[in-house]
Formats: sequence, C-alpha cells, structure tokens
Amino acid sequence: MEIFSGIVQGFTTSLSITNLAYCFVGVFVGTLIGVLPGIGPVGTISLLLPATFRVDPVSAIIMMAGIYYGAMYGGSTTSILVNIPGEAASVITCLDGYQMARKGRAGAALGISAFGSFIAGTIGVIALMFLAYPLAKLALNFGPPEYFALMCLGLTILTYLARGSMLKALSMALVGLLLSFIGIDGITGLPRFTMDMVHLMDGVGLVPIAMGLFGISEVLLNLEEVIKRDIFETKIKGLLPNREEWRRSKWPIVRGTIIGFFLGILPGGGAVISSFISYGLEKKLSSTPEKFGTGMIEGVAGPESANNAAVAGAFVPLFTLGIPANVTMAVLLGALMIHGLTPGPMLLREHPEIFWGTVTSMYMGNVMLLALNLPLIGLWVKVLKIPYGILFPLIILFCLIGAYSLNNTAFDIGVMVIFGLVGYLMKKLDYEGAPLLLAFVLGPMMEQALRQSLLLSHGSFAIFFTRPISAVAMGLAVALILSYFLPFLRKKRPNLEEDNV
Amino acid sequence: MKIGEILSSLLLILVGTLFCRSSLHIGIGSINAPGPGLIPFGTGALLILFSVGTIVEVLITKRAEAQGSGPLFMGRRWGVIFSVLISLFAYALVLNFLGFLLATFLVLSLLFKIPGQRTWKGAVGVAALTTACTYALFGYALQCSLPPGILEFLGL
Repeated sequence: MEIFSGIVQGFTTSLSITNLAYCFVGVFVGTLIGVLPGIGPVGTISLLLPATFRVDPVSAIIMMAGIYYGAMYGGSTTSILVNIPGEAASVITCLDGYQMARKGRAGAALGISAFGSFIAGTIGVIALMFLAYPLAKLALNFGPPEYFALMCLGLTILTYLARGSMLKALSMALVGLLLSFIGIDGITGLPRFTMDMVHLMDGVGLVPIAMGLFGISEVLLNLEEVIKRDIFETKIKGLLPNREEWRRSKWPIVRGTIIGFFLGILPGGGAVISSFISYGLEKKLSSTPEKFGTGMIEGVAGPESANNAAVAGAFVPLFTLGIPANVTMAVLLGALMIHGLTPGPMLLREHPEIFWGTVTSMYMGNVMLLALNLPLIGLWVKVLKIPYGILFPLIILFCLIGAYSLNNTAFDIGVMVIFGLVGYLMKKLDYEGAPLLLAFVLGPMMEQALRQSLLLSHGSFAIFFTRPISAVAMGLAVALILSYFLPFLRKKRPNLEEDNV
Repeated sequence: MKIGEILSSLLLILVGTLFCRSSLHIGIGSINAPGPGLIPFGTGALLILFSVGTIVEVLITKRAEAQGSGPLFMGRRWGVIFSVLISLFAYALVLNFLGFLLATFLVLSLLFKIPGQRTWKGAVGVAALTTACTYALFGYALQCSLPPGILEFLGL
C-alpha cells in the first residue's frame, strides 16, 4: 500500500505545471547535450546546479534527472547520423546504427532507438519503484562498517572496469579522496590542507572540479583537431520501424532492459558497460553474428534499451543507500546535499515527495523524450551542423558563469580551469576522471564511516569482515584487486570494449 | 608516452608525500582514536604505493603504450590550447576588476578568434552579441549576481 500511495503522491507532485516545465527543460537540455559531442550530463548538471539554488529541491532534482536520461536519448542521434557518439553510452550504437543510416534506414534506426529507450526507461522506472522500498528498509540496518564496505566496493568496481591500468584508476580514486579531505574536519573542526587559504576552508567545490574534468578538458581535447562531421544529407523518413524490424528488436529490447537495469544498480557499473554487454550478448545469440557491424537493428535496439534502463537502475543505490553508482549520480548526490537533503534510507521516509516526485517524473520525461526525439529529429540534425568554433566558446562561457555563480567568487573559476588542464593531461596519459570524482564525492562519507567503524571496534579492522554484508562487500573488493595483480587471472580481466567491439 | 606516465607518477608521489607530511603535522591520533590526519595519512601513503606500482608496471610490462587521446607533444595544436587556457586564467584574474560585461566580452572575442576561422571583426561582433544575450539571461532573467567591476557607474 505504501508504494501505491507513494505513486499517487509522486504523480501529484510531478504533474504540477512547474515540475512538468522543469522536467521538459531537463529532457530538452539533456537531448541537446546528448546530441552535442563535447559536453556530457556530468558537466551540464554541474553547470546548471547553481541555477537551481532558489528552486524547490523536487523541481531541481526532476530537472537534473531529466538531463541524465535525456542525454541517453540524444546520444544515439549522433551515433546513428554522424558516427560520433554524443555520449559514451552510445559508442556501441555507432557500429550498426551508422551502417543502417548508410543503407537508407536512418529513420528506422532512430525510431527503434527512441522506442527501445522509451520501453526500457519505463520498465526501469517501474522496477525502481518496487525495489526501492524493500532495499531502503534493509539499509536501515546498515551501520558505518556496511556503508564503508559498500563504498569501497563501488570504487573498486569502477577502477577495475576502468580503461587501461587499474593502478592508475586506483591512484585517481585516492587523489579524489585526498581532495575531499581539504577543508574543515567534520569531527574535530580543525582546518586541514587549506594552505591558509580562506577559499579552501569550505573545501574544494564539486562543481568546479566536475566542470573542469568533464567540461573544459573535453573542449581542450576537441580543439586539438578540427572535427569533421559527415552528416547524412538524405531526408530522414520512416521513423517507425517495419514489422520485421520490430520482430527482430523485441527480444533485444527486453534483454537490454534487464541487463541495463541490474548493471545500473551496481556501483561502478552503468549505462556504458550495460550497452557494451547488451551488444555482446545480442551478437552471441544471433544466428548471423558476422553481420553485426553492417547494420543489424538488434545492435541498436539492445544497447539503446540497456543504457536507458541503466539510468533508472542507477537511482536505486542513490535513493536507498545514499551511495552513487556512477559519476553522474555522484553529482546528483552533491546536488541533493546542497539542497539540504541526505540521500539514503531515511530520504524515503522523511522526504517521500523527492523520491516519488522524481521517479514519476521519469514517466512523463520518457513520454516527452519520445515526442522530442522523433518529430524534432530535423532540429537535432541542424544542431549537429553548428560549427565547433561557435559552440566551444559558448560551452566555456556557461562553465565560467556556472563556476562563478556557485559562491560568487572568481576563485572557483581558477579551480575549474586548473582541473580543466589536469583533466586534459589525464586523458592524454590514460588516467580516468570518473574514479577521481566519485571518490571526491564519497570521501567525506567514507572517512566518517571508517572513523566511526574504528571507534566501534576499538581499532580493529576485523569489524569489516565479521559482519555479513560488509564482509561480502569487502571480500568482493579484495578479490577484484587481487584478480588484477595475479597474472593468471589478469589475462581474463574483462576488457569490455575490446571483447565486444 | 612512458616518460609522461613516469613523470605523472612521480608527481603523484610528491602529492602523496605532501599530504602525509601535513597529516602528521595536524595529528594522526591512534587506530583506537583516529585523529584528523589518520585517514588522509593512510590515503597519501596508498597513493605513494600505487604510484610506485605504476612506475614499476610501466617499466616491466610490455603492454601497449597509453591509449590516451593521442601523443602529448607531437602534431597537436598546442598554441590553441595554450591560448585558451591563458585566456581563462586571465578571465579569473580580471573578472572582479573589469566586471562581467567587459571581461566576458574580451575573453569571448579571443575564444571566437583563436581557432582561426574568423576575422577579428567577426569575432568581436559575435562576442558582443553573445555577451549581451548572456547578461540578459543570467543577470536579468535568472537574477544571478554578476560582478559589475569598473562599469558599476553605469548602474548595470
């Protein structure tokens, strides 16, 4: 009954004119940045965060969630029409989507991508609703050791799945943790690592770091070379897939939805990985795997469904445990905290309108996205044609305003530019930004949980291995780290991109 | 890229060392009663350990070189990137003095000009228009507090 009354409450919240408007703005901006290569949901949510300070928290979260799942829809458009993924989660769609477009089936590829995303997004939201309450109830029994172990596991999975060296990814996670320690210590009230700078007393801001690492650095990278975009000039027609295409797509959509939702829940998993796994699975199950990469609709339907279902799945640990599953969720967690809300099991009890309002708004958002993506495809193609010389100063300008308006200080702009340079060099040297940012957000919670655990156990680390949930989480984290270092197992370490592509 | 990887690891070792040193200074307490420096000390020490590990990994393995986004120093438009970074740092420095309108107009003129596809006249024109639109949106519509700087007398 709790769930049904929650749904009613959620729709009452999300169907208000204001929240519908915020939802629309969110999905519109999401689609736009999904279409535009060079800026993703992390940068955009960080950018718009200061603009939401004076807005009701429910409306702010509805808009920011809309940006996230909207970007998944928009990302497929560039993959199919230009062979440039607007979003990392749409990389795999390039393989068959672009080939379908070359064969004159761009409309069907865009159509199945939008419908698959809609179906997966909707099913994902339903699953989120039914899973959140039982999980939140379970999470009420969690103590500091469980939270610390789960956060360790999340970070370990993220670093394990990182491209290239796991050691480098772990180093980045540690740098993120160290950055999070800058500022006043929450327990003793002592300033730490501030170098006597007043601006650092409150710590380094999440927004300047996120915009630097994921916004400015991306712009710098794109400026290195003139991006050539070979957009199909042929008229896109027939957005409704035909009966045969539907028949071939229905099971990939179902499988993609299931894979996406459950991988989305896992810390460190998410939209990118689920889309790769869905593609790999469809290829494996196909009777003509050799045709994958030549324009198979299954290769579009599965991954596009998976990346949208993963978005709904990623909300599960955020709302029930207060642990972000990926970087975008980490920024959303930061946003919730700035609005004075603490995500976790108590959020569902104390602020049910936030959870239900956001979840039910996703239904409305998915309907809006279907309307935005199919009839307005011409508009998105025009957006793609905007020269980068015009686009990048605008992206930078929004980043500058976003960083400044956070605390009305130019210091944050300086921090953002420094992290823009750091992010650029990190990309050059194969260091990933995601572990750094996730660790930065989790840092204060991890430190508090570890210190409380040590106080509880009188200094014994055995506390993490004697309680069942923390023991399992810690065991998995240790196993993942060991599997990297043991050469025999290392050969079997999944390199998802290479294996599947 | 091996040199770059080793240099970046050495830099991380330095960062870890500095954090460890500061942690000792603010007090690490004991494992039974952790002080404010204990966990940063452990994190810094782990960073040093993993960075040493990265150097060893780079030196002893024959794995493919960093797949990154291309070589660090060769064939890239370093001039463009350097100019953009300098412009942005300068913007942060002069924003409060010059004010939002003037500083934004100047930095946008540079940014529109830097890629080399536009004349100065065109870049300045687009920059002026963009600055005005942005000020109308953020300054008036969204009521963001933007620094007036030396143009304060205009009442903007």
